[in-house]
Amino acid sequence: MQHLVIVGGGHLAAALITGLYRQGFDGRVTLLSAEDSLPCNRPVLSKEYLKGELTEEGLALVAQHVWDDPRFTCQLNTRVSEIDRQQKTVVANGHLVPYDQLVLATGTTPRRLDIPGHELAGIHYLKTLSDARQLRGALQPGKRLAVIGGGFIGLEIAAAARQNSMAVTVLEAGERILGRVVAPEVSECFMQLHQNHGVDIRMGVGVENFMGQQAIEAVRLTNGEVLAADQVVVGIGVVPEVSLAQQAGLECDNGIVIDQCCRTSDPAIHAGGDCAVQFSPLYNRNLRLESVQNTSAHAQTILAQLAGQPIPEPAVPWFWSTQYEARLQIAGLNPDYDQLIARGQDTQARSWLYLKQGRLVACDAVNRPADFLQAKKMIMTETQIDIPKAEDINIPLSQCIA
Amino acid sequence: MSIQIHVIDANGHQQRLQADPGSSLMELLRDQSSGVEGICGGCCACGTCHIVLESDWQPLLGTAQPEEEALLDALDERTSGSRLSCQLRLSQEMDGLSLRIVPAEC
Repeated sequence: MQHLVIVGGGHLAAALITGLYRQGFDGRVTLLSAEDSLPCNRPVLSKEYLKGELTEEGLALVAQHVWDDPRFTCQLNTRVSEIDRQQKTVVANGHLVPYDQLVLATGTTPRRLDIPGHELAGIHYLKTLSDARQLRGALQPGKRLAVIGGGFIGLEIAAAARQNSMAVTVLEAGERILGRVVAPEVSECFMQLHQNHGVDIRMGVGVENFMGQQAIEAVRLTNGEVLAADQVVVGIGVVPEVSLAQQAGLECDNGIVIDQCCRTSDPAIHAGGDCAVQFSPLYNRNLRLESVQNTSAHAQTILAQLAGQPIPEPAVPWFWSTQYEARLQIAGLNPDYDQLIARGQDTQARSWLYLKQGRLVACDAVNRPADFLQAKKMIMTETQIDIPKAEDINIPLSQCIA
Repeated sequence: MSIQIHVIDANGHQQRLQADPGSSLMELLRDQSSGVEGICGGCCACGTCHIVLESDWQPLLGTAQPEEEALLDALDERTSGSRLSCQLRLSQEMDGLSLRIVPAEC
């Protein structure tokens, strides 16, 4: 009987396991997860879960009846330290586990801020359910929270903390928040949103060291200022977890390199999700995406491979973020756009189109789901945009074709 | 007490699913049927859990909240019975519910 081993217990593992169960996979599947809980829905950890709108029962990604099936096993708190590609075994918590097919779903690890004082209590990172549990307990009304990093995770946590009546300061080292992902105009919109909700946003400022006896008491900034804080959250990006693949001699380049079928340079090993780098025909470059949608697409590809079926067509990447009443949906990627079109001025509901030589390459939509859904399709077909029409928010985006 | 839901999945196959009240309809369909992705995990952000309720059932399940309505309105295949299954929680009253899954758009 075939043995499929999955390393890493996040969204890729969950989608594979559910899919294999449904396909009636005729082998055994073992999930080796370093975490202390079953695969859970990660994006909500920094949003609905943190705000107390969702309980832990609502986070499971794999239905209990799947785990009740003896063909599917999950080993928690299990670290894989080595892959032996000749013998087709992995070393998990010191024990040899043989595989016929291996999937690396190792994801990413939050980048650490290892400055003086980093060992103090009250400094949080957010990736796993256990991180989220701790952070949720730390978001107490009236206390002061310093958020280091003005990216999605930091801003979502800032929003949750404000909704829990904390005093919140966001410290961003760059010159604007969300600088890596959106245009300056969109950054500005989100900065105003947070300022309207009483967040103190500081830009162009780094952190020198953490101060406190046992627990965090203050943060010393690079401009010399000392900012008092009862809790700190660090959200300064993630590092793909590639060490296992690297040690095994698999090709890596800021991620585990995979082909269009999610195969690594070893045909018995697939990889996918946030740890994987794949060529995008649509954007004509190698991409490593941190996205549930991309992970889900990788899972469907691997499932098709294992079942000997044709792989699905590549899709337009998309992302979302919820902060206060703003629901941001992003379709596509904008690394080299040459024109930005704003649709509407209403701060509650507006969108931006990113064009390259007149073609739509990405869209950021705030409370404009129609623009988002239509943009996804128009990006796929590399649609030329009629700019004067697109600037009129009353004309549906799907009708703004040049 | 568990309830029964009649489903026509994205491939046109008929299914009868058993479920316990309390969890979301999206999760049931994602886990046991085909065509519902529920990528955003049920927070009304992606539109990949679109279903159409059989007409008799439409009035019994109430109307969509504004954020669900906005997303539904953006879908190509919206009909009068369209709902996002992530916004429907399974309850005893839904025993015998009949619905069709609309495949997620692109």
